[in-house]
Amino acid sequence: MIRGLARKLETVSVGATVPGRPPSPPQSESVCKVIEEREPLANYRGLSDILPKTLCILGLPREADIRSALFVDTETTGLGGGSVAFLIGTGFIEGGCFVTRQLLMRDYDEEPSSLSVFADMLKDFEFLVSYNGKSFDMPLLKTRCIINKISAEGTLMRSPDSRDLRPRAGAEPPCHLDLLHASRRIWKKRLGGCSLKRIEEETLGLVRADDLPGSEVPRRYFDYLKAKDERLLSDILRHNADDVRGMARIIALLSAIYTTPALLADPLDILSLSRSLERRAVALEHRENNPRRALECADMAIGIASDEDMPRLARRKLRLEKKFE
Amino acid sequence: MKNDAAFTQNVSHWRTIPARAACCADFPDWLDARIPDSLRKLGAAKPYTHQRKAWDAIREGRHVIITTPTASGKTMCYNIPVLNSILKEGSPRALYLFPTKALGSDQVASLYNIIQTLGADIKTFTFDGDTPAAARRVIREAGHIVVTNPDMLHANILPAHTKWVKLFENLKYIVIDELHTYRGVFGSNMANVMRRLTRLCEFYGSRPTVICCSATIANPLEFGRTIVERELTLIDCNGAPQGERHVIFYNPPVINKQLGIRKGAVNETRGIACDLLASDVSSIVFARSRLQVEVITHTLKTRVRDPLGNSGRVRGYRGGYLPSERRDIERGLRDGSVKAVVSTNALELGVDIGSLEACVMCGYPGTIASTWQQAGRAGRRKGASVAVMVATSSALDQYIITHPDYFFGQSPEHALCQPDNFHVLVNHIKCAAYELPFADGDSYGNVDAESTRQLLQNLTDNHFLRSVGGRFHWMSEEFPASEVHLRSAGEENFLIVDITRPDHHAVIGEMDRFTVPMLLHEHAIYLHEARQFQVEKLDFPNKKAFVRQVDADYYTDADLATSLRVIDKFDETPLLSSEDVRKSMGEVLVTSMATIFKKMKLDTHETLGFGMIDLPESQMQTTACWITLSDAATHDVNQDRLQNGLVGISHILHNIAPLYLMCDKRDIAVHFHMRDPFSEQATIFLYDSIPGGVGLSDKAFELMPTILSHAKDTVLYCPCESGCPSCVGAGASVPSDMGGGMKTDTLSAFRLFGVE
Repeated sequence: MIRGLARKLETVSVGATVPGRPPSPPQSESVCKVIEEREPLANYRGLSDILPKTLCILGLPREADIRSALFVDTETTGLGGGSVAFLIGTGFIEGGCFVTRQLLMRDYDEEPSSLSVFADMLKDFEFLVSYNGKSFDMPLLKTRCIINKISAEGTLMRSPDSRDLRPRAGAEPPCHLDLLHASRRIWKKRLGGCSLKRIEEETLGLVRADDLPGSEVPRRYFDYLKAKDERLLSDILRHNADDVRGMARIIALLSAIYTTPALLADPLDILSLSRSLERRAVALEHRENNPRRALECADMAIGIASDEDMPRLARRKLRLEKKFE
Repeated sequence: MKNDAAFTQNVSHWRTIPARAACCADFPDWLDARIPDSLRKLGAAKPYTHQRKAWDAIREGRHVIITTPTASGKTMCYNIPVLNSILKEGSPRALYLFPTKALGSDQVASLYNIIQTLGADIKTFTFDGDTPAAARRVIREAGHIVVTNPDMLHANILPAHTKWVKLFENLKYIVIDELHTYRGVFGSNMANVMRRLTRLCEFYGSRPTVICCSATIANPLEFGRTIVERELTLIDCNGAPQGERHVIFYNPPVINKQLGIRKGAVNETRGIACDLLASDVSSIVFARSRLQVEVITHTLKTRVRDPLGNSGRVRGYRGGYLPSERRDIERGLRDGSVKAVVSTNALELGVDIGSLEACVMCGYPGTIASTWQQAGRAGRRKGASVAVMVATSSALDQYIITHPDYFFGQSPEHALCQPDNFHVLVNHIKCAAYELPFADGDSYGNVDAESTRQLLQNLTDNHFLRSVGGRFHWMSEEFPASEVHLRSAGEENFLIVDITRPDHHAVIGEMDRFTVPMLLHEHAIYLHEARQFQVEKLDFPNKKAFVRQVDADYYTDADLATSLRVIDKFDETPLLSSEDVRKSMGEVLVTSMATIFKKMKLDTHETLGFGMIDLPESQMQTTACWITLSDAATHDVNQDRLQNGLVGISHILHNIAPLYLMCDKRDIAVHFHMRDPFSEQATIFLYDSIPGGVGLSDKAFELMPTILSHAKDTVLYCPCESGCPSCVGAGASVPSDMGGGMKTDTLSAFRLFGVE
């Protein structure tokens, strides 16, 4: 025993220390709460029509079926490294429905369970869709999996036998479409900030009633932990589900824009789209080695490009066409 | 020099240490063949015996501590086993910890050299505050050897351990160089950083071998164990050759016998350095402050300036110089284009500057270990070298210079730290809980499970942790590591803001909360890098002091009213044989309040005026040891004379104790009570000036009889008549009206304590 410890603890403690409280037995079987809701796909116009190649043009490294997408958004106890994702919100298409499935950790002992359920879910999908998940949600979930010794190899993490020491960008799983980046490419010039809520309001005209601001989430969760009253969580659950559904609507809108650029009205947005298509063409040609899609992007860009950008795009198009001769 | 009468008449001691030949061993056969080849190419035909011993021990998986002197090839002791393992197995990783960034980069440079000669693809990186973000990712993924400092490990690597999985999973070696620098608060923190590191290694399933290197200290094994909490094997048989060495104690002549004032050490140092330069001897001068460095460099440069105005043969070196400038000076010293360097203790640590012929120390460096470390800068494997120590008038310097046998006979100091310091412990347990949840029944480092549980429970009650399902989870939005600074204990540092330029307020420094009332009260003159500032406003709640540059001919000196109360006693025994004189140790509450300050003229120290200080009192709970005299012992003694004696003993104790505790004078404080309310006896306290204590008074409790005996000798053999600042303290020249005077009264008081 450290000398004088008990006395020192008395002097600094706010609450009374209860000496000799017996340790509570470890409860290994704590299971997270799963909350699921289904809505007809009709509520998400255009979502199920998204073509595999459009996803690729939007920024996914390969073509994929939208029905194999898992939408992910987490609520956390803070922004720093010690925070925990206490709510993992997911969304996916199943039959004729859009399903939101939320994994809620009602206390810290349920974290391993919610992470395992999530890691298992990942196996059923080919790619992730998130809003800022590349730099926030996914690295955090990966950290939590490591700390809880949850194996998520191949999904959240690279497989262990990978001897490849070259660093790859970020810690995201192989296939991940981050809608924040896609939104920024089109609306940043005009709107500046591109938070999910802002984009919903500006482009879809959706205004959320009584939405809980994201910055109040950690405090609300800690209040809940103290009171253990699940009603305190209802605002968070609604906020999170709204975020997941918002992503589904935005990906549908973005796909529509990339297929029909005429949907954009503002000249700044159009300029952004053409530039974004051009950059995507470069990436597809050089990094992803997909000249066919690159040519498609360049072609679309030419359709809406400014006079200034036109000659450059024309040259690129010619060069790409030569590759097919 | 031996023939220079003006010099030799002030030499109080001249010792010659004979030359020693090298002891070599063979390269072991288990080494990758590329290693002996490369070492031969680099000029090392065979390893020294201590290197071979270290390699064998490390290969057997033993944790080691190596304490051979400067320039004995310590770095090879750990570099070779690490490189060998990487060459042979590929995957092992190593973490190198150096106390400063400069040492880290120096080490990487020399490692590159070997790796290049080996022709192997071994990736070595420094990871410190200057590492760009893009490079950090590469280091995390690919660095075989990561060179960093404890601060980065604490605030950056450990909290983000999930990004360093590769390092932690494959960590085979942890190298801690310059272990002796982790004393006091820094050491207490370092030990806890090691506890956290070990905890993470266990989590990732690695069991690294720990290799420590240290300058010579009295207690390498004990100290090493305190820091790394592992059984260690000591490697101290130095096999490196050593040329003949001369160690000279130089005491400047007394110019005022009554006041015990001697000629200034700076001037004398300057003279000796000039003579060495004139004889074209390569030398290093150690000054005690940055200002002294500048003053001495200036004179020496004037002396060597050639007709073209070049004086590059002499260089200054101190913290605050640009890294490129420092590298340039180090290179100049190695290749001989720089003949003399004047440095603060910045060059005391292992920066490679080659070997010089002479070393001049302006004042006793404070510890025996440090003195040998500085003297070792002049010391070559072949040929003679000389180290001159010039004493100042301070009590400590005078004690050392007049007791050469003590200096040469004594083992160097004990290095101390207290990993279980309450404040330090609580802070690091928070960090540890942030990194990984604790489970019920876990212990933390060497802290037993029950203490750990109580600490965790307390953090749970304060809502830092949540206890559920048998585990303690971090549940705060705070980042605990950002609140802990490894090099100081108080977390509430004050910022010093220079407001001289209205358009550009600049933070020029920090000060701990406990010193602020003394040095940063309103109207105080604050000295910073030889510039004077006046404190215009002290914003106590927001912890900021606003200062403006001034040009004043006075300085300020605050009076601190200190009161001390014993709150807990852990131990008590008789000091020596008498039951009337006892020593105790425990915890005290020190309350101090700055009351008034004096303005003193710079050159004459006359008092020019007073001012009031209006600041709240500050409290500190810390560890202390104390000695008491029973009423029976003091019964027949005149109270005034006893008081004089206690004043005198307190003063000399404060000056002599750091010698044994390997600490700075500021790290401890001494206080006496004619009649202490707790012991109800005359009592002298010695306490750690650091909240919670770092183990200094624990050691002082143990060594008290020895410390007191040396303190008494210092007073007894002091050449002054009735007491001087070198022995019993300032104001001692005024004899008490009872006859005798401070010196006599102090010696009588020593007798009361039974110290003969």
